[in-house]
Amino acid sequence: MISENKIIDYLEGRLSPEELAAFESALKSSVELRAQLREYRSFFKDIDQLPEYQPSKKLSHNFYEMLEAEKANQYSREKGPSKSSRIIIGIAAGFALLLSGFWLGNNMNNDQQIQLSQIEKDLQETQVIMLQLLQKESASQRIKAVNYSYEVERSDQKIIDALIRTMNFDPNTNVRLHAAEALARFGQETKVRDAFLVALASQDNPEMQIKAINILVHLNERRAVGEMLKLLEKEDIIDAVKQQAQTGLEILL
Amino acid sequence: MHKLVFSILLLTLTLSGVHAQQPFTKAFKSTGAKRVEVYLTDANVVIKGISGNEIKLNASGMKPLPERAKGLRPISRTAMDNTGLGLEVKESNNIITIKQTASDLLDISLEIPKEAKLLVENSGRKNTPLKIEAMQGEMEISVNRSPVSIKKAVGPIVANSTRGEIEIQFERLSQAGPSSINTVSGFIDITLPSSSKANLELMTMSNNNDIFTDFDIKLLEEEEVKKGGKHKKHKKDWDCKCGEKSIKGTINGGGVEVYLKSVRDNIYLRKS
Amino acid sequence: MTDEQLMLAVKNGKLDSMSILFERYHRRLYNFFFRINYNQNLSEDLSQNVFERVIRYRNSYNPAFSFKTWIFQIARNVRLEHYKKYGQQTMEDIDKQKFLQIEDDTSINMDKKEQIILLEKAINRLNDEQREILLLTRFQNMKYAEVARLLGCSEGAVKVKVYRTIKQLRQIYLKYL
Repeated sequence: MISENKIIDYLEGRLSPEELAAFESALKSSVELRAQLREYRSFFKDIDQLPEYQPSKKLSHNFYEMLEAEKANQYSREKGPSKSSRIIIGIAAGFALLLSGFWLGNNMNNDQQIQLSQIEKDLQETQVIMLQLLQKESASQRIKAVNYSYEVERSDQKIIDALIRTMNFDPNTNVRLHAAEALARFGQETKVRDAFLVALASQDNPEMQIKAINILVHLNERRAVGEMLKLLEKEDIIDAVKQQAQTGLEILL
Repeated sequence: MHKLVFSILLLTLTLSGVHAQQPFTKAFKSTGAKRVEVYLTDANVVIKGISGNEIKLNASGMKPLPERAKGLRPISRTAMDNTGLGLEVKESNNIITIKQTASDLLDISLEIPKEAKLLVENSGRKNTPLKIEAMQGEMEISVNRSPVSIKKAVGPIVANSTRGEIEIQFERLSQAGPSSINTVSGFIDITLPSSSKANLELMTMSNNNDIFTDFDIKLLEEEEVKKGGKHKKHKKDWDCKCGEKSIKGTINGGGVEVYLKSVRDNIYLRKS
Repeated sequence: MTDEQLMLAVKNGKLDSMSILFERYHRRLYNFFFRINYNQNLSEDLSQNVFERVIRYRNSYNPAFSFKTWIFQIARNVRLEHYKKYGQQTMEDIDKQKFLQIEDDTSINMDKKEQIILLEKAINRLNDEQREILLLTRFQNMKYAEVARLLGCSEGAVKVKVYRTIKQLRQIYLKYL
């Protein structure tokens, strides 16, 4: 008695030469076997003729969006923020959401062809990349993020705000220093000059204090004089800072 | 009965920290990306990169606990000693955090997986050296007065110190992200392989400190377009009368950004 | 280029190569999920999930191994995780589902449509393991050796599972017809 297993093997081409010979001779002599084989053949044919289902356009659309986001984000992948970066992530997350909504909205609206100039498009791209990178746990990547602000010629509020936040709150001193330098380019804005004054008063890291002094002096910001005089009086300010404040005062006054 | 006595004895000795030390070990939860964060107040530290998936910690210098504290553990505002060494060690999500709880000056020797990302902060006021060797991943270093010496590094390295010198020998220069080294006072001495590709920015801020190098730096006069992208680095368009002197240029055609800045002391950039 | 070469390129940073792999595999993955839950939205979400993981875990891809096996491994995990959370659709749900795609297709005659639906129902009556074996061997044309690697069992065990599945399916199907 030839088992059904053998029939399956036969149809799938898995019989050895001897088995094949045995099967084919059995076929010749058994009507029953031939009937069974026919049934199985038809069964397999039904299975193979089942339709291939088609996904909707949504699948492609979502995939390509994800791929573009990944390409923009093609830097180190970090797992889980440490305590020190939760502040950054909290602050930047809101903006990133806002921005990504705008970004996605433009891409989804195929009906309304919003004609953005190339400059607008570049600006948006820079913003997205920069805000994404600012959320990174790696100080090096956040410096890279700050450097992206140099791509932008004119003063853009979102980028300026991001730089101000970074200068004031980034847990890493080097990143804050780079943010301060990048921000100095936009020194003609009152918001930026105010931010430097705040930094001078609130930063207790000597390098940041020096940087704030230098930038305010360069911007000829007289309002800094008061704060700088205060620094000269304070006990816990190191000499290097006091010297810088001294030099700065001489220039401003 | 003897076993019980022995265990209690061992436990007591462990808590009082007066025993011949086996390294304290802590494993990472998984073999994926790892990170080690070390927060110190006053400690001499040596960190070495090794293979494997755990850290090995040896430390001495903690004063023995007072009699009354037997069975108790010292705590500080932010951490609780769970090693008996004056350090708290915790693991979460493949991040191992080591915090100094003892206010004594500790001598710490730490071995960690060489591919782990490393963060070290030493806020102490003593001149306690920090030595790091054979770490191949990204590093973030922030110290007050500790002289820092890093060997066989790959980076990127983001480091700053208020009063300590920073000396780094790169085995090769990672192109994955900018490296940035800052000191207020304390010289900066960096060795890079002679073929390293970098966009350099070297800055001093007083009239008494200078920059020395044996690299052939191609100075930037105009805006430079970084290869492979639209990334433009603008020349600083000011001439700061505050004493900031900066040199911007490329070596070997340019590459990743390397920032070396010291307010008061010299900068040395060497070929290896 | 072969799938393995493309995935290696993705691993090395050339993310654009992923789009070719997407075009090659997305329908197959979609059908793999659809034949289990008969839900278009869910199947699309699960497929998207698979591609996200392929990209996220690209560094763990070993180019010596078949890409097809790897991506179906991921698909299996995605499916298992989903069902751990949400459970399996019961037979009742399937009955209420309309196979809109087949019903609206005028090129298939009524009889054929009915037969297809009955066969799909029969497939749905198989248990998870059997259905998976069927989908992988018959629909995705995976060799028994590949399936063995995927399921972590021997090739002989796969063969036995295939026998049982086919015979069982046939029994159920014949009852419906």
